[in-house]
Parts: sequence; C-alpha cells; structure tokens
Amino acid sequence: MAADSLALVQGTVNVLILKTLTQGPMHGYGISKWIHDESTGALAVEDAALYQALHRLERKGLIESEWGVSDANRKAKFYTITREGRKYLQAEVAALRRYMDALFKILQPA
Amino acid sequence: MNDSERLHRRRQFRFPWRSRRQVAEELEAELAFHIDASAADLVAKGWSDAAARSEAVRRFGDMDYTGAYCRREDARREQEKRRTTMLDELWQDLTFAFRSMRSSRGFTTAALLTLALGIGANTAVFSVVHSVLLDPLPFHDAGQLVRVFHARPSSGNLRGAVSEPDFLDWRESSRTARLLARPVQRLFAAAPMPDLEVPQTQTYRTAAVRPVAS
Repeated sequence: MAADSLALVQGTVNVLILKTLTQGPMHGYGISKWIHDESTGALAVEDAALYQALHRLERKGLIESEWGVSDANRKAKFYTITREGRKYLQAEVAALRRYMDALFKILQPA
Repeated sequence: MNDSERLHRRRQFRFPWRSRRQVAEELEAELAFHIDASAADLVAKGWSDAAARSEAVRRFGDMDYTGAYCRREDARREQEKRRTTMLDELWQDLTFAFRSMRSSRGFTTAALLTLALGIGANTAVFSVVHSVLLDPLPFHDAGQLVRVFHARPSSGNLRGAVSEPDFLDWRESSRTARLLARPVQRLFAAAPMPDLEVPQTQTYRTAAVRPVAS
C-alpha cells in the first residue's frame, strides 16, 4: 500500500469494514483489496489491523463468519454483516458526519 | 460429502462452539489464505514467486501480534457463545419440565409426596443418629478422650474392668496419656444422683468439665 496514504483511526476501520460488507459476504483479502481500490489507494488499512478488527467485530456480534470457497476455488473464511452490525454502522456514520460537519464549520473559511 | 467433511459436520452438530485448537487452526488457515492470495496478485503483476511471498508477508504487518490478538478475541467469543448456549438449554429444560409437570398432575403429586415423605423421614432419623452417634461428646478435646480396658486374652475377656492398683500403676508410668482418670459409672448422667459416690476430681479434670453438683 502506498506510503503516503492516510493512516486511520481505529474506529474508522470498523466503519470501513462494515460498509464494505453491506455489499455481501467477503473474505479478509477481498475486504482489504476493496477498501484500497475504492479509495484509489488513498486509505490504507494495514492487513494486521484489518484482521484484528474483523475478529473483534465478530466477537461483538457485528459480523459473522463462515467457511466457503473463494473465486480461485480455495477454502476461505467469508464475513457477513449482522443486523446489529447494520445498526451500528448507521449510528457510527451519523456520528462521524456530525463530527466532520462541526470540524469543517470551523476549518472551511480559512 | 467425503468422510472428513461428514466427521466435521457431526462434531459441529454436537458442539456448537469450537475448541481452542480448532480456533487456532482456523485462524492459521485464514491468514495463510490471505498471504497466498496477496502473493498470487503480485505474481500476476510480474513478481517472482519468492519475492511476491516475502512482499505479501511484509505488507501484512505484525503477524505474531495479530495472531495472538485474534486468538484471544475468538476464545472470548467461544466462551460467551458456550455460556449463552448453556443458559438457553437450561432455560428450555426448565420450562419443559414445568410444562410436563403441569400436564400430568397425578404423577407430579405422587412424586412430590414421595420426595416430601422421604426427606422428612431421612431428616428425622438423621437428627437422632446425629445426636446419639455422630455428635462429639460435650467435653474439651473430646476426640482425645479414650476408655481403657484391661484385656485378659487367656480367659477370652478383652474388655475387662481395670483394678484400682493397675490403674494407679498405669497413671504413674504412662507417657502417652496426659492425664489418666479412673472411669466413674454414670459419668454421662445428666445430673448426678444424690446417692452417687462423689466423683473423683481427676475424672473431671481429664474431661475438662466441672461437675454439675458435688
């Protein structure tokens, strides 16, 4: 991943993963690639942090996992977002938006 | 479905949670898949196999810490799952038991009566046995108190009475007994009878009690 891409605060990783999973079940590598491609390389989620977040989110019941078969016909662990996960995502996105709005109300005129 | 899959399914059916070893194995497989997929993409971009592999590992970041972190999270999740499963099952069992007791009242009444009578009788018998056989004697250090007999094997009498001179000799020479007192008849009488011979004080000192009346 590009060295000049933005480092992420921990809470943001959760939101990015949950958002990615609203499209359907995905394995860890797929999530990592999707975030990287969607942000055209601007957002860097370190793989180590990604997997830590995946297992943490699963423990909290926000996502679920199941073994399936990847495109390359290999056994892979696929993650799915749960109903609680969707609720959490909505609340977090709303909170992030309020935060950003407030921040830019101050920063914008500069 | 091949044999190993069938075995796996059956085990999953029996235990809805995973063992510590299963958790570790699945995590290893998950991370191995990631490294392989990442390396395969690099190979597709023209990297050599070995270079792609080490680059994939480098990009991943701290593998050891992540492994330990994920195993800890997974173990906690399995624990919580196990706890809720057991609570759910316990609740189901309880409601089922309650419902079946309500639907067969005659049986429930009979069972309850049997239990009540059984427990009552047991308690009654035990309270007698307890005070007669099991309760320690109401003396200081009751466990140290022993009764001494004079055994005469030649005549077949192993529990003979101790004569006064023998008793005095034993008391003189004994090194194991702290105090030796002559047994008094009716030592355990609730209150001494008026015509009872005045107990020898040594007896009471041994048992560390005071005579009720003297």
